[in-house]
Amino acid sequence: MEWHLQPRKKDSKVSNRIERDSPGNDVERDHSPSGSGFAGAGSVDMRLLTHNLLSSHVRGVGPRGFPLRLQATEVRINPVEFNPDFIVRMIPKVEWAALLEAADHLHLIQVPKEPIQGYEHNEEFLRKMHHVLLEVEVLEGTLQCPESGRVFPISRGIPNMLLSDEETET
Amino acid sequence: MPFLHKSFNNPMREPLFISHLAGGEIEAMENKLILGHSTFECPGQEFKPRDYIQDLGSTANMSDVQEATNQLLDVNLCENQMSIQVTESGPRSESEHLQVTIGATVPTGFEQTAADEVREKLGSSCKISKDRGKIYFDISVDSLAQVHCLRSVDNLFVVVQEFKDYQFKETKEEVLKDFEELAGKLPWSDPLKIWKINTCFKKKKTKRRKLNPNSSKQKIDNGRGDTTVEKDVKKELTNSVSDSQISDYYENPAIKEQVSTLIGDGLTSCKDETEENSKEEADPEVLKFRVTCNRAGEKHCFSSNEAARDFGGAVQDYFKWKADMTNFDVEVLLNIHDNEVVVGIALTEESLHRRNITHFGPTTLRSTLAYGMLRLCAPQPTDIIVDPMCGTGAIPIEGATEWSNCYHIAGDNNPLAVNRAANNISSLLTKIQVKEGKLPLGLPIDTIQWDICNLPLRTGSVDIIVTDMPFGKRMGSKKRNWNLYPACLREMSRVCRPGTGRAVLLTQDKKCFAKALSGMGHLWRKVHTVWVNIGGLHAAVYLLKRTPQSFVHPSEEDGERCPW
Repeated sequence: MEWHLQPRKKDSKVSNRIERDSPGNDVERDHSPSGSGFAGAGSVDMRLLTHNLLSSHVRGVGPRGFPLRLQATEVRINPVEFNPDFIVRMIPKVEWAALLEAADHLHLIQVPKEPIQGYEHNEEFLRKMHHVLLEVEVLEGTLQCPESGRVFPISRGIPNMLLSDEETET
Repeated sequence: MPFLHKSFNNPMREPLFISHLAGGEIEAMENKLILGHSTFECPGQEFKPRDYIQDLGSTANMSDVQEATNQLLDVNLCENQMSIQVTESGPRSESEHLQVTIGATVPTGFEQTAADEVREKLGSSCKISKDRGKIYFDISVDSLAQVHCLRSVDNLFVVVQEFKDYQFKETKEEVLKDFEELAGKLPWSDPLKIWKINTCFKKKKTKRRKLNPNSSKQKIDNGRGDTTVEKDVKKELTNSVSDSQISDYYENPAIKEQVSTLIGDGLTSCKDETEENSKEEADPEVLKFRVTCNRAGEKHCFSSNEAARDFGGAVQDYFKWKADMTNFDVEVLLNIHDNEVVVGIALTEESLHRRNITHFGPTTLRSTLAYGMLRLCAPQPTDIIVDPMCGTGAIPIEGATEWSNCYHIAGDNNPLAVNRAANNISSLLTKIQVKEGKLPLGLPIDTIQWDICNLPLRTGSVDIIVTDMPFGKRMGSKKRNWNLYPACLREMSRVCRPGTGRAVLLTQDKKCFAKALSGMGHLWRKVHTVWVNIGGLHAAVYLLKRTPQSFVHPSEEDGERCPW
């Protein structure tokens, strides 16, 4: 993966479509660093594993605030070392429906409706999940509370989940 | 649990076998060091480059026990005695299976944690000194490189001699005279050999630094702080990967492979410069030194300055070295704690504690303390570890590098802090990229801007919460803590997994914390407290366990959040 250490251009590529047939194939990638806040290589960006943990905290929403609806205008693929043991143990912790939905919104590869039988030993499956959970990063986009409609921006890879004073008051 | 207790030195001084060490540390990414014709593995990062960071305001986030060691950190070159003799002349080829006693300064209160790390990574047991913040352990010189891999250690030195019960004479004159006479009687030769091995790279880097004055540029965080970084990165990409300027410029990450590249390169060039080195080293007149004396105790009739001066004078006479307080090769340490006197030679120049951070904030926590806190909660593979008030990200970054089989989230409400944390992570990755000449793999850490009192996290989804809570001195206020602490503890108890979850919280506002915790016995159980010293303030690190009780949401219609 090439890396260009230039400040991000205003008309950076919008790449909604990230497709990967199998591990090892070339993937279309967005090269630009995420804005002037970062030096270059591998900035911190929101991964789907993080999205899986996030829930709306808008007052009165409670558990209906999960999962947040993810939309992305800029996504990057950032390889992470594959640790099968990590993925095997993480899968039970993942809220699968939320992951499915998010992966779908990002037009990623088809995530199975549920962890397949005997996934612990299925390397292809594990690699796929590794990719979806850890290697796809949202640089720019939004997270929307499904209950209240409140939109939280993701900018330069960092979601801003702060509510205004009004929203936190009674 | 007392925070200070002794474990005993290994009296047998068994040589450590590399395979024994390596066995416990083999992970997916192995760090292989090539020395001559043999290899051994270093469990963590080895290289700790110079810290060129401008600390924006935290004047003394340092332990009060450690003193003046603002110098360059070295890569530790260690000759593997099992290898075929390398073709070098001079003192290096004499290195045998030297056994040495190493002293390490650690954040006060975390002596036991550091001892655990030493046992885990080096196989040595530690003696914890009464002089707080110091531990001692024996190793064979083969393991010297691994010692620099320790993440809970601020500074390292090799012990020349230890006096457990030094008898001080009555008058100042007599005491100082004793110190003078002491200089000539100490067993210097082995420790000096260690020092020489340790400084092999130092000479090479010093030469390079003179050619590259820009490498010592300090980075100023102006909230963006990246134009500097970008410029340097571009510049450095055009240099060779082995250029020490790059390694000096960035902090040391814990991605392991890059270390071997650096050491491999360093070794090659070190061999090339052997002649110069041995010329300089063989000629002791050229060595410059200083003496640093730390003195603690009420019954001493002398000051540390006086002791340093007179002891130093005798050392100078003995070795015919040149005294230089700022630009020295050898730093002799004279540590006096009541009746315990330890003479040592420093092995680290600059404290390792700021290794991960390039962008500082007003209250940045040192990495060794962050490591100690993380270790306290015993992270398990795939644990979700959250720092909800991450500031510059010291804790999650340390976590992501040392516990890369966990998943880390750094959050803060302040956009500056979040930016800095993200920058620090970027810097870490860029450094690896520059060293390896290829894009590094991502670290398991994400950053979010959020409000700790209203975390946008699923209930019970977090395994570990580790954070440095606002003391109310430099950040926030004591009054604000009164409302903040209970709200924090409550929200943390919600997101933390019942039964298995735990929290490690650092705070100086112990009173407020105790009060906030008192109403939450059904959610949090205090398991352990470590008393620490942060920049002169007496703080505490609390280890809390989350009870099995599920968190009950207050009625959703009820908007009122009562702090108690």
